[in-house]
Amino acid sequence: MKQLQEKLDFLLKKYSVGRKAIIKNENCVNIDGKDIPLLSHRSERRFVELKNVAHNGTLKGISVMRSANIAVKGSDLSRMLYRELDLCQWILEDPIVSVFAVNNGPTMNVIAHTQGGLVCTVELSATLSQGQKPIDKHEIISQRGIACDKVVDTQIMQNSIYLYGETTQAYTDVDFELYGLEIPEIAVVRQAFAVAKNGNDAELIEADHRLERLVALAEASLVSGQKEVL
Amino acid sequence: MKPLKIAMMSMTHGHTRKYYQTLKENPKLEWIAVSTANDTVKQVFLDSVTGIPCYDSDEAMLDAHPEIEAVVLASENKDHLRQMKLCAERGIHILSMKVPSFDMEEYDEMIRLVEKNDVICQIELELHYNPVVVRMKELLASGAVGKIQSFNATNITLSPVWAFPWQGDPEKSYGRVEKIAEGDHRFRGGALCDHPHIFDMICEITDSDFDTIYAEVAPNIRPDIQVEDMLSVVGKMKNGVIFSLDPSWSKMEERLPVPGPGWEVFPKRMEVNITVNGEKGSLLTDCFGPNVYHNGLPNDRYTVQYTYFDEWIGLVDEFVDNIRNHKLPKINLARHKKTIAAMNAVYESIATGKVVKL
Repeated sequence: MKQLQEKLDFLLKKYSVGRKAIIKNENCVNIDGKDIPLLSHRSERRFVELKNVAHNGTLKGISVMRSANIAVKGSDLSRMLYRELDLCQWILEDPIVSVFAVNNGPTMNVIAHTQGGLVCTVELSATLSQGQKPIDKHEIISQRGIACDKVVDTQIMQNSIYLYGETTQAYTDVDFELYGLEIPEIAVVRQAFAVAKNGNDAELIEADHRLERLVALAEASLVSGQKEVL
Repeated sequence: MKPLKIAMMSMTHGHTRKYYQTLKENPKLEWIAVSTANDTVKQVFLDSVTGIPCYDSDEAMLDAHPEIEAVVLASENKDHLRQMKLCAERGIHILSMKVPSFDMEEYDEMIRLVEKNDVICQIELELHYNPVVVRMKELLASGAVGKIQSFNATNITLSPVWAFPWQGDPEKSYGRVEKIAEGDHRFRGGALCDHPHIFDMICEITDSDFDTIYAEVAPNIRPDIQVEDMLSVVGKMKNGVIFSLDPSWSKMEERLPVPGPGWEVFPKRMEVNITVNGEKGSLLTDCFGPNVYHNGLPNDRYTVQYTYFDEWIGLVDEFVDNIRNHKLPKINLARHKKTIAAMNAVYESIATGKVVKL
């Protein structure tokens, strides 16, 4: 967290933002003494671009959003679901109102329905070995085109750099100002900075409360075996 | 530090719109005014940005705003010397587009002007402010592939000539009308003039200078333009590293008058991919990937939606720092002169059919 805080301090100073912001963890920033939930995925540029594509006239007649997320063993499926449900309703700009969920060990699949009648599917698993990088995919299907954060004919994220030396390594760097941080870390810093700059505390608090209810609804669905409605 | 009072000139260059966001949002800058070279680009600017005074001539803008400290020369190559003179003689600092001039006498005059008037002149080679390139340099500097043996790179894009017609005009782009080769109907001034980046980057990565260059021009994939659009370059650096460079306009485009959605025919409008091979391994770099992808409107074509890269933030930060602390820019006129000389050698090789020794 120290490195993230240093980067946040750099941005606050560079852009003359007066509010005091302390990153407590990847899910929370303290702004002027008040804890604000971080939905840092909303600050990942690939999701910002998907949201743009969904609403700037590029896609037309959206039908479905599909997401998949595979994490290392021991990861919190509820927290993963929280992220994916938020991505769906935030990118689609359409709140989720019902959830149906099934699970088996460290895996969970969910179908959600939005207020506007769109369908979202979420496939989660915590099955990777420690040290393996998370794998995810987000795809929006419409009457006029598909948008996706993975390139056609691939299953995992491509990298900017591949080094084939004595060992094979890969690197992806996406932010010149925050160079050196991993993509999820960049998202945490960017969102903490955005909250400090824009003051949208209430929006995040409300979104967090709603997501907690949706996750609880999914857990209820696991027990009931039925679709649960908000 | 007080904000730098900055202006833009001409607004005819393809990179013009890249500056809008940075000039508006960077707290180190105060955007004072622009001057436009013609009514077309004036209207494009007025449709894109509000609240910035817009003048019909460079002189009128500078006369009306003596507070201007620096100018971005967002102009066609042919105008650069005139505008540099205008700025330097008033003590105004200069951010030049990527090709100040192909004429070496003009180039020397630019250097004299800048030195005599003690102003900062930085060349816009934005690839240096790309985070992937920063990582690539770090890895190579750490010896990740050992001693470098070859450097192969593409700097391939769509052709901007439909939106920025001066780039297809030999005189405005190359500086004079010169046949690309005896018996060839095309002129210098096309794709090569648009793509200096890899000619600069190879010198930094290999820590060497060009030794020999051999190049060939291929048949145009746009037969109706006056300038070259496909060319290939190979050769050797003074330290023995061999190279292969592709600076073509090999990505086909829709002929839009203003860049916008649906510009691409090929899914990715711009690629800079660099492969460095060394004694201990190989390094493959895609400077503009990965991204987000779609096949939506207006043309239902599979398209790369550029996602991550904001080179102009770092570039402008460095420009401000150079001015406020009176530093010689890393990409200065003297350094860049060698890059331009190498690009001229490409044209010479094409014209003569022979290897050019630098």
